[in-house]
Amino acid sequence: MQNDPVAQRELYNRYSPKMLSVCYRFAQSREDAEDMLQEGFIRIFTQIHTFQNKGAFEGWIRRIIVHTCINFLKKYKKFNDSIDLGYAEYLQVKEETVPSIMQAKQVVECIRLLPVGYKTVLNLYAIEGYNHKEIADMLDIEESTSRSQYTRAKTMLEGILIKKKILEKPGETELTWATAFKK
Amino acid sequence: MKNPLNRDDFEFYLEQEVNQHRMYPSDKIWRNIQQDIHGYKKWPALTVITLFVISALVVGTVLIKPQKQTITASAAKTAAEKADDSAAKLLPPPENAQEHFSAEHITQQTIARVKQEQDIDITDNIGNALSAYNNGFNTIMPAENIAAIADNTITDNNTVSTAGNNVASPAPQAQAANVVAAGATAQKAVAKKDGQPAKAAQPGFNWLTMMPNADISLNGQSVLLPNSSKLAGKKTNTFMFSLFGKRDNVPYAGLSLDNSFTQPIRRPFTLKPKSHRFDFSFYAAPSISYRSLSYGKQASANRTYISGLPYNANYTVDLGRTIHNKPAAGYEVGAALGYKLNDVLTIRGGFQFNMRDYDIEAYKRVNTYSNLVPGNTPLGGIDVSNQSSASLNGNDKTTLQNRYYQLSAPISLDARVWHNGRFAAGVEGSVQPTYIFDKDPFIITSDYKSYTDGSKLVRNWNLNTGFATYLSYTTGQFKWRLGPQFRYQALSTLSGDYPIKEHLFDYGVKIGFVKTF
Repeated sequence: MQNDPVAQRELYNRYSPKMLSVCYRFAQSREDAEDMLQEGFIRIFTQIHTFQNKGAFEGWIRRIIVHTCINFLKKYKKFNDSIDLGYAEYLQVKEETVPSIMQAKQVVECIRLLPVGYKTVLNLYAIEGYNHKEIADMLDIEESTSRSQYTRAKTMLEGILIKKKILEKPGETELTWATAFKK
Repeated sequence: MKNPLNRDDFEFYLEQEVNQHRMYPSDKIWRNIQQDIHGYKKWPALTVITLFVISALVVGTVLIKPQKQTITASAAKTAAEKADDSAAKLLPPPENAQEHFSAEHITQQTIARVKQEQDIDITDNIGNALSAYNNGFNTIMPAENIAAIADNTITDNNTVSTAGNNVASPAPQAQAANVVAAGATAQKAVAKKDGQPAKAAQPGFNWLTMMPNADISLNGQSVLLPNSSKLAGKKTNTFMFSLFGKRDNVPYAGLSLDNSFTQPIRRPFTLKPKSHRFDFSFYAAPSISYRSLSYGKQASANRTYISGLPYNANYTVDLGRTIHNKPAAGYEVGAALGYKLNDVLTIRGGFQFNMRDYDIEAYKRVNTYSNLVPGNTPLGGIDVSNQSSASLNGNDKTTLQNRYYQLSAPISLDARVWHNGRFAAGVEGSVQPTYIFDKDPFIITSDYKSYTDGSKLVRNWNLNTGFATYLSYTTGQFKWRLGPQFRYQALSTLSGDYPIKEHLFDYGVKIGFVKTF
């Protein structure tokens, strides 16, 4: 695989769309996301001999991509950016013919609206499945900081999703989260 | 990792939603990855082409030498040497009386050399005439005497006035046909009389012909020639001519006097023209590339041979409506050596580089397994990605680019159909065995729903044909050409296993030059 461009191309074609989505959730822009993806796949191809066939290959790739994203954010000091929550109201939503994809894209865009620190912790905890201790080690923060960041991120994201009418407020319609996102 | 059982509904919802999301990176990302891992693997087309062109120019200009010039010059003798020329190597007298002749060479050595090298059947009685007088008559005069003669007027009943150049002369007598007015006219008259094609006077030569029975005098004085006193007052019943001018920047003149001159000049003195058989050409042609798609024999075979497969593997669709192509710009650069078969036809052979490009309109969608024909079908053995990178119907438009780099060895036949002065027009047809490299095209899958990598199906060798018309303008040794050209790929881009045939064709404008040797 390391020296086989055809096999590498196969692997890249199979996983790059999903991994780019992962990078996009961490990045500030598509260009940053593509840079993260590029760095990530270079690491994957050069370290592929270290994969020990324990666990899913996709999971292994995803971990490398996530670590690459974190390193990228640290390297370019992206954690200081912040964004006004009100911006979420001006988020343009395209008309799509496939509602499921539309909603997924909207959710991803809403996650990207969060401040860098919030969305990083949210991505790592809620989606990638890292615990707060691991997140603290990765981001060089305290575990308590990770927890508080996540709580604020979650609250902010809920607010954005409700404002965008992607989710309904549980209190107003007497719906629980369990029913709110049922399609 | 955290315990998945501790996840709440919101986190579950987020994970479900975001995992459906896909984004497709640009081609640049893959190229950068490959470049980082494997190094730059692209064919250095520009470098190779530049080296090729430089090499072809070096070979064309250094190794192909022009033909030797035919020698027509007289000896570049000094005035003293000319004065010392003797009549030792004289030619035999001519057989028949010749009223006019247009010989230009003065010395016997020059005459002999010209005869040998030009293969001109000409006899010259100069030496013989001089020897008849045995006066050591010099055939060469110093330049100053030339000027003296040229500036003076030789008077006689039928004399000719000169002013240093060819001038008109009356020819009232019966032998008027033999009396020439000026060099050019004389030569034409001679030529017509002899039945030879008319020839223009040699540039740089001034000559005159005098009537017979003319007194040879120069302003009433003897002709300013060595031993001229012996000529004074003499009459001749043949022609005397005086030739003065320059050959190869050497001034000389000659004087012939023969009372018994009978040898006719058989043919005017002419130079054999240089032969320009070989030429070198260089050209470039920006072009637009198109492609045409059609079903090959394999498509029919698929429909009848396959059984038990999904329905969508056994139908064919309107390719023009299903696959949306957009032409794109390409280019061609080449050089060739040519050999002129005759005045009209030239055959050429050389090398040529082409870049062909066209775009395919497609849409991005979530990856699915493409529905290829499996098993024991003609398509079964093809290693094609089962995960499409783009599809026909989806939400986000994208453009797939198919680009081919080609190296050809065209053999062409050039026919010049018209020319007028510096302008010419012609047509050129060529056959081009072609090698295709650096190929990485997208091809449509058998269910017509996806595009996938078709690099393994592309033929390495193909055959192209070309047709061009041109208008050319000549400046010196260069002929500059401009005109439209059409190039067609005779064989399908993809191998016979693939049921759809793709033929590429280009329309372009060819610009170039041809240098003759």
